[in-house]
Amino acid sequence: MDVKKKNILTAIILVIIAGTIYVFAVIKALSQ
Amino acid sequence: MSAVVAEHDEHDHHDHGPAKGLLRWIITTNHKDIGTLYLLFSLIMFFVGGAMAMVIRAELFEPGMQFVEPQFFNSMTTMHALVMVFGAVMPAFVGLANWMIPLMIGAPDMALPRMNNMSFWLLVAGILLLASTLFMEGGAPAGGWTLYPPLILQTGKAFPFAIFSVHLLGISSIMGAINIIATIFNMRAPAMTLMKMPLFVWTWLITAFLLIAIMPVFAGAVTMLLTDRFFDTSFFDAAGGGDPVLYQHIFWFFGHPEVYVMILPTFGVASTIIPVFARKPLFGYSSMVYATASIAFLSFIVWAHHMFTVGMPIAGELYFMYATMLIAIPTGVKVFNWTATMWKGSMTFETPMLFSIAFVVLFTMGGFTGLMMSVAPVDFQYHDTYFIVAHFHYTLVPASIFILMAAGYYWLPKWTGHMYNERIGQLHFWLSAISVNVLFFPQHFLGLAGMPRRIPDYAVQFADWNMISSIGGFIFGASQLLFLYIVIDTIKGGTGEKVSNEVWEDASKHSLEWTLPSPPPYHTFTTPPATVPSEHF
Repeated sequence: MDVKKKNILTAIILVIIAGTIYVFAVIKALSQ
Repeated sequence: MSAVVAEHDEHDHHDHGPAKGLLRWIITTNHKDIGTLYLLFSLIMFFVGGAMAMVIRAELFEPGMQFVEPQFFNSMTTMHALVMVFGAVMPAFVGLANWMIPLMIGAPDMALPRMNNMSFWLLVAGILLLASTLFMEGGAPAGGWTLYPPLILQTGKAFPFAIFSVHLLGISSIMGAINIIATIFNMRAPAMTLMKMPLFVWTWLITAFLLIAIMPVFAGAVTMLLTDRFFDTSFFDAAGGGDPVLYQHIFWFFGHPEVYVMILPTFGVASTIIPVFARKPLFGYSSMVYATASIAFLSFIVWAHHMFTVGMPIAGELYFMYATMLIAIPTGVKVFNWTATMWKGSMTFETPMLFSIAFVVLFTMGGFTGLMMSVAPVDFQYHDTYFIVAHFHYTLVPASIFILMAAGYYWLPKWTGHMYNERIGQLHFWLSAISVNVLFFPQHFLGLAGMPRRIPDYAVQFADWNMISSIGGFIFGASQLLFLYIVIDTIKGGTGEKVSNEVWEDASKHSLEWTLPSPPPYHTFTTPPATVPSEHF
């Protein structure tokens, strides 16, 4: 794969991970 | 990687130099420019946060109220911490990462250069917003950098601004981390396999993963504070069925790994500098990598050792106590490896090495007091006293800050092409190394005797050690002006001596940046290097 596409794909995957953690933290607190 | 080379050859060869004037620094996407911006910004913030520390030490010089109101004093402790953590130490390491990671792995730039520019300017916006709270009705946040509710909810008009500033700083850090991971994974020279990467690159890779995992948690916590204050939720309000201790759990799930965000790159720089001046390969390279990963993993499962006194079940206290003690093992591996690297080496003691050796000794002291505090029943005496203040300042000032100084002296000749003044550098080191101990060592005694942290006034029995600590603080603060002088002087030409590519004897055996001219051209490694240093293996 072209390195530019690879960079953007890496960034998207990491953004999804960060976003999931954010949502998970708030949902976890809501369920207390 | 070959794709990068191919693309580079395909496009038109227009001018690759920097834009002219001020605009260059605003719109730049060059990793060296952005690295410089980060480093200069963090240097300014180091002095801003330092000035706040001077206010604190001046107020504590003797018992009684001297200069400032208690509310302002508490704002100073809070803002000093936030500015130093988010404005000075973290950006300084991101600056080093920007400058050095592409040079160390043989990449032409960071993977996402436009995002790189945006992370820097969001950082500036976040810190300016935070600083603006000092001038708002009700003053800047004064509940401590941990922003614990319900105390922090009493902040005046500044509250939403401080929360938004934390969000901006978090987004900036996450974008920086994404860039670093993408760069290290996708942009390495073909010969640069993962286990051939310099330790600084390895520690930053692991740190970047830490940042991506923890920053959203912190953002979630402060968002919940915001909704508790303005939207009638009760996440942390006991009256509405919430729990203030929940905030502490969430905060420290972020806060403890955050400590390692500041210390892992410190380890990386120390592992880079010590072998060069010991003229030996780094002892136990792979064990250093695994120890870094172990510390990062353990940092996620020890958070409640910050909260031993909140009334956890005994099983919880025991678990967090033993888990915390485990961190001493990989950390010990590192300390022994640095020591073994120096063992029987042909050592010389230039300023970067002096700061690095002081780091090994003084960080170990900070680590040992950490081990003391991990013992849950004993922590009941230390909790919220100056013993804690002494502990974490030993892990941050003579560790992170000293290593940042070491990095400055080590790479300034590479960045500028000029040699710094070694005599003034050594003077800076000795003044700093002595005064930092005068400043922080007595705080252990104060804490053990029961002096609480975050208070502007204290009982008379604490007077003597406080005065000594303040004197140490003033000398330490003043001696940092020498560093400022050296940075400016070196940029302007330093000793006048033209430095070679290597700068330090045989440095190119250790890392790729020393194969480039000093200063390196605006664009480097447009063609990836064919071979990489193999000194460590």
